[in-house]
Amino acid sequence: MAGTALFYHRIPNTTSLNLTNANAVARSYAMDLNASQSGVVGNTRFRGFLNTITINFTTLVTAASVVVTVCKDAAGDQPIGAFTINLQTGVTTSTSGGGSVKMDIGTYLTSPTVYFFFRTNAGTLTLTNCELTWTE
Amino acid sequence: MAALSRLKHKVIQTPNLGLTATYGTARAVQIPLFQGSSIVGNDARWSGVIESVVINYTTATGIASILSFLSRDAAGDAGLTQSLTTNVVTGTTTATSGCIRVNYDLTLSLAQTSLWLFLRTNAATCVVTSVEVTWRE
Repeated sequence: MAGTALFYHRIPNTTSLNLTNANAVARSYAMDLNASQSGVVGNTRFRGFLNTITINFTTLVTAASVVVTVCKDAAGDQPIGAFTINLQTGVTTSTSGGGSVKMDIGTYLTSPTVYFFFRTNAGTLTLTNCELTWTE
Repeated sequence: MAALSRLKHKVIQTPNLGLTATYGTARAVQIPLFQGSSIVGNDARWSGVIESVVINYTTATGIASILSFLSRDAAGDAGLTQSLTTNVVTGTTTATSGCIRVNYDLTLSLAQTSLWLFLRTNAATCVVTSVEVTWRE
């Protein structure tokens, strides 16, 4: 029989962030969820599933995990969830690495932008890349 | 009503790769996610759900588990998943053969079409004869 597929969207952010073990506005990303379909008229809202966050980092010192708090506002006062990414360190360069976490949030937002606030469990690292996958 | 399915794909690699108890770039298997696909224009991006990875091995010398993680790069410095430890299932007829299965159920949209699976044993050695990745659209 015929198969059906989902529509997938990839929202990348490559702004470098120096993370510590505390959340702050300066250590957050604004993620425009409709960036991958900006040509669609009337996308002032968001309806979909926030599936997965992946990150990459360099210059790791001590940290074993990164906590991502997903918020509706830039101040970080309206969170919709927090997720822990256990870090995998690099094979060739042990201070580099990455990780991912499943969110699986089905949501309907009146604004298409969410804010990711990052902190380490301890120590520091430089976040070099974050990608969100969401599906319709 | 009729059931709707989502198309499944399998990527099979047969590396004959000798594992030790440490990760290394020589002990990684490239996973070309569009292997065998006739889809045109799939050279830059991949989207889907990685469901599971089944790894078969032979000539094991006392291993209890295999550790694995997925990376975006061949150097293993851009990990996509954390290293997971999976206990082996040993063969019925040949005790030095066996397998592991790792369930991911990971929904991703990537600006690349290959991943690398890094493998190591908990201790001692074995030879990985096949790696099968199942993913769905």
